[in-house]
Amino acid sequence: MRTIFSRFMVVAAFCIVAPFLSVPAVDAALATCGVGGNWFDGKDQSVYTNGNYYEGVSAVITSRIGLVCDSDTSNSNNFSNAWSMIANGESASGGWVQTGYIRGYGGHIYHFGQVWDGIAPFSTHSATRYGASALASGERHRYWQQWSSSCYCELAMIDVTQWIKTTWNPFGTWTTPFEMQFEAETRYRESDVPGTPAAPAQWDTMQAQAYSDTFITMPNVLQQPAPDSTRWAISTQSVTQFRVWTK
Amino acid sequence: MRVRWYAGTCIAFVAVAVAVAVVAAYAVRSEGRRAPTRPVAADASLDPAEARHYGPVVPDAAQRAPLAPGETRYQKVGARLLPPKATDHAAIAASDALAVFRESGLRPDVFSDGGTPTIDLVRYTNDEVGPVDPKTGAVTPTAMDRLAWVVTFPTAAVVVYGGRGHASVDGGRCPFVYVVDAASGAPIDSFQECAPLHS
Repeated sequence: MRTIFSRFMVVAAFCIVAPFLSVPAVDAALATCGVGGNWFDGKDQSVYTNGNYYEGVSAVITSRIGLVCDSDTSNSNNFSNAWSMIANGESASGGWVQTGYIRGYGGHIYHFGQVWDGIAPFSTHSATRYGASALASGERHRYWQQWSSSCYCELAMIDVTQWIKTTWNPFGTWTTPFEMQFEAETRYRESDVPGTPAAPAQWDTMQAQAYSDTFITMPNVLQQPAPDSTRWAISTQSVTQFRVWTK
Repeated sequence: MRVRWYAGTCIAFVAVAVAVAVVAAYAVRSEGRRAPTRPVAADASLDPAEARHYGPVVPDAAQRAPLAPGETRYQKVGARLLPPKATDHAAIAASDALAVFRESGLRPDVFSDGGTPTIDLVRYTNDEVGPVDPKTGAVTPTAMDRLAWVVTFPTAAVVVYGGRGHASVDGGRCPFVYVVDAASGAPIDSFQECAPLHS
């Protein structure tokens, strides 16, 4: 009788303690999606104190899978991505040129690029190109935006390939100085940004295109706003390298 | 007495005219000093290093050319779709092209909310996508007059990516296009752009 009582107490104690012993699975997005938006984890430069302004950006980004929350099963709406961008200095107006990689709900990783002159409506003033073939996690690609004097336009580049280019000149369309942005992004805070603690998404070999049109090693310590979710992390390796992951 | 009256009126008139001229001149100067909120062209106030970047875009010659009969052109992504030649024959069926897209896993949601797709056999050219010669800047297109199936979902959601700190905007709905090589079945291109041009 005493033995049965002891075993009962052990099981009861286990039942009470077990929930507190459970460890959240690493790289597990939450089941329920919350408020939709554009949520970020990364670095940018929108304020310049030295008078040196830039017209293009470049970074080599390591592709990683970003798992997304489950209650929105729309592949296009529910996404996790990583990119580099040159953007309108007048943020209230919008406007950008970017390339990077993206993964939507239940899908694979693809290259993508998007351009928008900043004029409403977005639908008729933007264009987006996706890669036709999927990428593998761990692939490294140079995602970069280059202003070109041969067309007076901005080229959205991936590695050595011209991906998409603007049909307008950002100079005269946007307000200078332009913003540099290097970000991971999701539709929901309950989704994962690409990368895990063991295998983070990494931006390295970061460069800026000066007004001389030459790409130079990133000269500034970029601004680093707090990630939009407490589930995400960011660390700086150097002025030209940083990492992002989901805790 | 009358002379003094004329002189007084004349002095008053001149004074009013001078005052109007001064006010007008000040107004003109004020307008001239007003800083433009968005410079549309280079001006003397800009740093020369920046000023040289202002000017009209130089479009690709192919994109600037008049539309050919039966052509559909997506100018923002530099894609041209021409009718196939009479002798053209696709090695794979239209349904095979649709299956290639479905199996790709790219934007599968367009099957449910992108509208009824059309699948057209075309001669496909993309003038602006491909490797760039670093010396000349010339692009070698990845697709030039290639026989291809073009799968078009007419009303797919446009997704807005970024940018941080920028106002949220609604993407709207536009054609989503997936291009498959009609000979090999290999995917060639995929893009989304509203308001293509049709001849």
